[in-house]
Amino acid sequence: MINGNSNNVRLPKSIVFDTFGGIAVSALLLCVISGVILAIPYDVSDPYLSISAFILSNPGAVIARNMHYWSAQIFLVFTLIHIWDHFRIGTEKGIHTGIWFRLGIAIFVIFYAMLSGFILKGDTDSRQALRIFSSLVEAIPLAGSQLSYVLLGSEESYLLLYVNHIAIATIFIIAILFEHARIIWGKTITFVVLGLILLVLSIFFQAPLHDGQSAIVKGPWYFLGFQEMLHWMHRPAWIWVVVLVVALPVFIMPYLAKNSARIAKYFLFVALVFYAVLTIIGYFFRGEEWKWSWTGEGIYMPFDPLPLIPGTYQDPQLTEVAGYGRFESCMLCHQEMKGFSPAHAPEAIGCVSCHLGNPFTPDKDQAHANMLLVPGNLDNAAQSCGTAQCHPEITDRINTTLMTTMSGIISVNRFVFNELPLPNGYFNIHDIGHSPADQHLRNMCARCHLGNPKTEPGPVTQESRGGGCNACHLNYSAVAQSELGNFFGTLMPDSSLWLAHPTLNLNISNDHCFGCHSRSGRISTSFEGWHETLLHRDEIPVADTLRVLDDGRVFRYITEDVHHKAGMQCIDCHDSYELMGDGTYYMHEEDQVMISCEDCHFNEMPAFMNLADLDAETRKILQLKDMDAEESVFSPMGNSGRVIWNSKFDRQGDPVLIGKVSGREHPLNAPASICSRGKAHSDLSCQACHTSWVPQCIGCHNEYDPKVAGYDMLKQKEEAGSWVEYVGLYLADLPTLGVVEGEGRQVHTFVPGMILTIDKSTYMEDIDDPLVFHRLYAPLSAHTTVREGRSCRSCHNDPLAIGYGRGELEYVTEGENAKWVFTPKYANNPNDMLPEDAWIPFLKQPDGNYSTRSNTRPFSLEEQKHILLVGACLECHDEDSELMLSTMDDFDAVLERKSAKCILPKDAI
Amino acid sequence: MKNLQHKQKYSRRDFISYLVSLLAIPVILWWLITGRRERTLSSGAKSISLSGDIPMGVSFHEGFVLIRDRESIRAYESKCTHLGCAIKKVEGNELVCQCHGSRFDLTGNAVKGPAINPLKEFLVYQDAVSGEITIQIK
Repeated sequence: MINGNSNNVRLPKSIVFDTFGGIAVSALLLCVISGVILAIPYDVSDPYLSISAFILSNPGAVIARNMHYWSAQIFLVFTLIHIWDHFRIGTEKGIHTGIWFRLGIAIFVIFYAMLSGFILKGDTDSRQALRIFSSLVEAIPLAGSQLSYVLLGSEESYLLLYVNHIAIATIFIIAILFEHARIIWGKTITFVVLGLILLVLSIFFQAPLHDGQSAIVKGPWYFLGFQEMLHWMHRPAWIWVVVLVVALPVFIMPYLAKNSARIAKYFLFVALVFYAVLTIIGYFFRGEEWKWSWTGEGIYMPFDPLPLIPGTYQDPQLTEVAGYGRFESCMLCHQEMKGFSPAHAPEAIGCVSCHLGNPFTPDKDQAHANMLLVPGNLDNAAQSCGTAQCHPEITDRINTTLMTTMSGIISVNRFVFNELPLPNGYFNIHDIGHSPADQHLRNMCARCHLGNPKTEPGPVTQESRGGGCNACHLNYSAVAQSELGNFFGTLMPDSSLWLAHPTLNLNISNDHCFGCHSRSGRISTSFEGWHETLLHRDEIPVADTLRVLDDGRVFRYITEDVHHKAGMQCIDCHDSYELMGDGTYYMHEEDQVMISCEDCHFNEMPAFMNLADLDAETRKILQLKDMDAEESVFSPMGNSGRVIWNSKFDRQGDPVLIGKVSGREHPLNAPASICSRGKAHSDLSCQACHTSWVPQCIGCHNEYDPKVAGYDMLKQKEEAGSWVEYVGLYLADLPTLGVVEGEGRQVHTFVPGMILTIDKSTYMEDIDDPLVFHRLYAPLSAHTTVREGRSCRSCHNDPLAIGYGRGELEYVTEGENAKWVFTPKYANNPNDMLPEDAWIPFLKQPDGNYSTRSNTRPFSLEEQKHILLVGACLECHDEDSELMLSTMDDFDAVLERKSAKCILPKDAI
Repeated sequence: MKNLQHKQKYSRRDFISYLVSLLAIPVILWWLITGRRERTLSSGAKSISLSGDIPMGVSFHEGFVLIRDRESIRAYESKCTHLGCAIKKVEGNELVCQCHGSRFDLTGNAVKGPAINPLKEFLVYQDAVSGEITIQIK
């Protein structure tokens, strides 16, 4: 036990063995001894690498390092207590003023020795600390830069700092100590007891070493108060004034009268308490970028509670992790693991940069503590894929993409549930609550977002949802999949025997997209030609046109997209900025998707761009794809403003698109002349004519069943009760056409996404509008493109295309009068007395909400009449006739030439 | 009597202390001057050459950040002007210092404190023929 110099508090002599100062002396001696031992394995030319090497192979060196660290902390703490103890009883008056002055200087030297020791470990914290102190010392007027160099050396070499630490500072402290206390060795009992305590500490608690993963940068614990103060200061050099203000009373203490000395000590006490508060703030409540953190994530441990385990230390031939300049203990067991892409190979980035864990212990359990089995989920991406050394800009902006936020789905769903007046707004799936609409999403939809974590290893399948970076970039080789199967089959429970690691690369196939995009708009299945049926997997007839998905849904083959037929993948059109976000929040999918048909199918050659002018991300992708060779020097600039970087000129000088995965070249055919003939169809989207079919469902009813077993996809938790969807009919037909109002009017393709009823009273009692009915069509690019455009009659004479629904549209003439008569196929829905599959009433002005977007609408009555007027012409004239083709140039001129035989609806002219 | 008191005021020990103190001055001066010389030697003019194949946007290099847009290539010291921490992170269109959260726009100006001064800009030359880029670091 210890005792100070005070006469006020006396402990029993039997447990008192030394003073605070005596303990500090013994701690210093042990620090020097352990430092000398540590100097042998420590390599000042590569400190971080050398520490990581002996930490995994040399338990003696580990203990020496830990003792060096702990003895230094104890020396500092007891020195400060010793000083305060003397202040308390006023013994400063008895010390020679010269010695007092040198003792004051020694306090600075002690802090310098501590700080230089902190820097000499060479990790992330150390390198930043060196820069901070160099910067502060350089700010001292006159001799700042010279002082900085002689005290701290340069960033390139720690040699000068090392010499200062082990020799100059140490000798100075020992000399001052000897002059002050006239002792070197201290008491043997103190030395022995302290040595034993330090040994225990050193065995159980490792000295800190930053793993380079955490973005939190903090100095040593005794510096955190300063770091907090520095954070407030725009001109941090003023910190020296603070230091001087605090140091001055210490230096002049012996000269002060008793009362003045008491005031100075009060001042120092207040300063100490203030500093302690700042230290606590810095220690507990500051996180990344020194922001406030109330979650504890920023708590910086000054030590790692990792007991040394005998027998775990090995002397293997480890491979240095080049990206971090260190060895990692993971390779003690997993050295033989193969299957990585070059950028993610262990010799490049190690294992810890993705999987976390502790790279500085040879013990398996300690190394695996806090490890991520599946890295790359968005909730851990900041610590794995998104660390500063890797892809921080992507993991930052991916939070803005609709595939993460689901903003459009949320707004439309709330709109449909009458919880929003318009289907607009910026929302995030993680922020939804438990309103009827939000609960509906939780039960039905909230898995298809990138933030949905992948919790088990394994390849991306049809049933995969979300998974962060893995959703697109994870690929399993056959060997890796086989090993995984053995693992789940418990044939290979010891993962150290595994040799095949899944690959993270840019080979993003359509299968990666399939899980989520085979639902809702069903783009993935439609692209491949498959249309969902209501058949159950157990009742399907044997037929090669049927396909059963892993989730049991049965699909019928209709027609695949011409791009799929050509072997193209989703990513051949959709680039990294569309998929991972471009940093902008969007409301709906069509706002975020930039690629358009015209980007590749153009009449006039668009602008070109030199590869060197591309952004860093695209350049990197080109390099990884080996597509930055000379022949791909130019890339056409798309009409969307995005660069179609996977394009080039073939040997004939014609532009081609290159499959990003397949490498196949696809000719970029110019659109047919009919596409741009005249002005009649200039406001038609390409999809309006070239979409061969769209999946449609009508007559859907939704209600909440409190008795069924439900699942909250956001919480990933089973619970009682769920929204249940009762579907009506699934149909595959040509799309209905409508209008997108934007910078210009455009006719686009629409599907009956929301002809439904919702019984909200089943979820929430005492509600104003318990039964919701909607007849909403949604814009959809169905991805069922065909080379041939749809016929003129399929639009102008087809009730489904115009929005009336299926049925018979007849042009009836009576004498010189004519009119259109529509006989619907489906019965009227009692909620609005329109045919079940209709979008709008026949030849009436639509009124009210008809679409899931506020900038889209069905055809107005005037537009319907115009369409049907052409339809009337087509009743007699062949659509390929020169007369009908000429209507595309100037319909009014043709109309003026009409013969007397032509009978047109009067109110349409 | 007066002379005797004078002798007591300055003991032998005091004399040695003062002598050591006097000797310390030239030693410290020598220490600082040597440091200055070494620093000057190690901080002479220095330039780095890169191929003209610099990607668009922000790229981090040892000691400097390179920013290329359609009009220009700029190089800034990757040293936060607040306390000198290494800047290794870009978030949106801002360079971020991880020590205390200072942020700089892509023209080097501080947009969020504690740093208030702009990043030091290095001169960048591009060879008109070869396209090689030279950055004058010091």
